[in-house]
Amino acid sequence: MADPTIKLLLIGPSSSGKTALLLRYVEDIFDTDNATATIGVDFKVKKLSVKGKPHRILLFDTAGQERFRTLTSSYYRNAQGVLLVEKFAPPNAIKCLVGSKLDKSTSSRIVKTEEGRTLAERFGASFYEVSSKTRENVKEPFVDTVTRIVETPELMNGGVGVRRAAATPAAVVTLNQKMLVKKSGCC
Amino acid sequence: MVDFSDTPPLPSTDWDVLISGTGIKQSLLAVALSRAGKSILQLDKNSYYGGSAAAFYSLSEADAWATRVNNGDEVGFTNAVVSNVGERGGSGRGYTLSLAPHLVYWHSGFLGMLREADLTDGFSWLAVGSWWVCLTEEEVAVPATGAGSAGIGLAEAGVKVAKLASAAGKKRAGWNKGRKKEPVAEAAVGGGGESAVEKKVTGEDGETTLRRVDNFREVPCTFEDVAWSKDLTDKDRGQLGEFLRFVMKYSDPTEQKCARIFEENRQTSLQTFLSTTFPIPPFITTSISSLTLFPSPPSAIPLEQALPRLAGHFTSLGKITDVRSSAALTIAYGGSAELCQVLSRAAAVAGGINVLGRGVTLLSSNNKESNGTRKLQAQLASGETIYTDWAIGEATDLAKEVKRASGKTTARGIYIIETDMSWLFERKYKDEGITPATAVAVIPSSQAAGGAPIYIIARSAATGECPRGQCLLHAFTESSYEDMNTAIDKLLRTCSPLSKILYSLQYTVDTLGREGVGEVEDGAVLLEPVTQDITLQDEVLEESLAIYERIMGTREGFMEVSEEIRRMKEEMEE
Ligand SMILES: Nc1nc2c(ncn2[C@@H]2O[C@H](COP(=O)(O)OP(=O)(O)O)[C@@H](O)[C@H]2O)c(=O)[nH]1
Ligand SMILES: [Mg+2]
Repeated sequence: MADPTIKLLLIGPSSSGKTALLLRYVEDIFDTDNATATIGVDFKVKKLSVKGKPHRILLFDTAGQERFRTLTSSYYRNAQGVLLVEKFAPPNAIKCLVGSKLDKSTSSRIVKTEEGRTLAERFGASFYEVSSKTRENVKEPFVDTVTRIVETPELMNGGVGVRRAAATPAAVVTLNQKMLVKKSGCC
Repeated sequence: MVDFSDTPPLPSTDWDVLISGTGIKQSLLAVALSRAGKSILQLDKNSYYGGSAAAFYSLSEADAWATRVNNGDEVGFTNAVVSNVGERGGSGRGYTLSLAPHLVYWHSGFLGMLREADLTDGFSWLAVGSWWVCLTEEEVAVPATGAGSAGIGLAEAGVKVAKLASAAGKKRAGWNKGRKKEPVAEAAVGGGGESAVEKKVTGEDGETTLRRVDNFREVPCTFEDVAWSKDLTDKDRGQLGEFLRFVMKYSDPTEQKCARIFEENRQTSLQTFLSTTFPIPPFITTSISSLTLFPSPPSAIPLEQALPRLAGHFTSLGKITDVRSSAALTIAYGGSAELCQVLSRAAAVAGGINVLGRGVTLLSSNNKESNGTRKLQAQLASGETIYTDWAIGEATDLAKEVKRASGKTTARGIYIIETDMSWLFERKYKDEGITPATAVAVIPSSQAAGGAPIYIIARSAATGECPRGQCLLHAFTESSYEDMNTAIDKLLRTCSPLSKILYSLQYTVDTLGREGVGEVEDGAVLLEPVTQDITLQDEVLEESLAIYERIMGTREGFMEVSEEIRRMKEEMEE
């Protein structure tokens, strides 16, 4: 059996540090000019063990689409968890609010710790303050979100892609590589 | 109006390619050219993706679109009529009304391309179930009239085989191979006060009869269907079986006889061809014709157009794992509207920039030396000016004038139905693991009227486009709104006589002029005006490929993921 797969999204305003956080968490790099680092890849995969069981985490970045507010509704589909800096999120998904750039001086911080906590409470989200630069708290929001997803059976049924269709079992056709090459046999 | 003040200026004024519009072709090209390393700016004058393949995610969004149509602000669309039969709360969220609920055939080039481009995972693919045609007992009773096919031999052979089979009781014609037992009985299954379903009956080795609900009869698609249709005589079976063989062989150069018959009959209408060469009763012609999804009656579809469509249907059939009675798929959450969005994200992933609510207001040659070497300059609704070597878009999106052509118009309707009309979506075979989320119902116009059929594409709640317990009906016809309503009514009365239409949106799609299409003037490439097909046609892909070739100098690498990225992905999966 393949490891359970979990789809997590990163959402938030442009330049809030989403891509930096993703790269620090998955590849443990921090590049001040990392804007191009995610070009070409739809999502990053991270293996994570939750309660001793391996899970495959698919981490989706916005591909810069938040900049012109052109994130598609399809981006949000079937997401089981969101790391967010804004209120927009799929209704059932587990949410986690992340305050970024913790290393920067307190005076330049846009979101104060208390405000962040209050906001997170309002959305039923957990709250972490992180620094991709110094690595501080980078893993926690991911691990916490995945753990909460794993503990929510409705979110785990069927995994990515079939969750929404759970209303009608087996409605989704899986297109896998094996089926691609099948040639037509006439009659 | 969109307020631009809170969206940032473009990151650059200098681009390899400007793509105006976020329809299917535009979005395909945005991905293909971004992946090929071009700097791409994809704009849309609308604040939503998809253009004429858009979806509306609430009833109020659909209403707003209808208003724009009636104000003349949506080129190519006219005469939108909204009616709210039931009361609705608030803005009518929970619905996705798509202008492009396309079917995608398994064997289409389009699906093949998406697979190779590594893009199929971005969607939920759903199966398209059976085709149902409304035919009265009287229509079914009309026998074949053709004199037969002396000299061709194919059909005669078919009849012979069928006769032999029925005489021997055991032996079967090729389309009927492996079948041993007659269906044993018929079970009428009534459900929740709805009409009785004359149900499929499964015998020992899994064979089925054609299903029927009132006058809605399942179209014989599979060879099993042809073998067991109760509406067919053995002679009809032979003819139809042979016609289906012909469909599979006509384009095969080694099948000289078939190729010759085809060449001689290219322009013959499907109706005439079927009544003379493979004489089958008119109602079967009507059924077969419905598989082409052409909005015209069989008397107006030339064989050369019908055959590729039929071949596409039959070669796709039986290939989809877990749902062998299905030939096509559809994308959940809005059909091709979802496709456009996924493609736009794929373009962004490949480095392209997409901006909504910022159209092109003027496109001209770039004469000023001071503005670099780009061939074109474009003024945008935001007041910005950008420079580019290529500009791709439909005429309206490149600020060119478009005229309505004199061609036919298509009437379209989207209906929200209070009940789920579940029998339309039932699995055909017991051993299938997947329930169809879409079905096709066709209401032919009466033979006498010679008018256009009405196609109804039913989409269940499994598409995520309506709440559970309801369903959506999308109607397409060259006929009138009135005929469309009558057809919907017929289907409702049969399926679920007490159920109401909660909401409907009807509109007319015009044929637009093709002036300047395909010509390239200073790098401006005008796209073909969008047609309103029921299926995602390979022509869409072909046109995009041709433009890609023009810009890149080759068709190689279209939509391909670079080696480097492929490696990165593989490493990740390890
Ligand atoms: N000092 C500091 N800078 C950061 C941190 N995270 C991101 N940045 C910088 O903030 C800018 C925007 O980050 P990016 O990840 O591209 O933001 P995105 O638009 O949300 O993806 C970049 O210059 C990053 O180097 C952090 O934790 N500390
Ligand atoms: Mg980023």
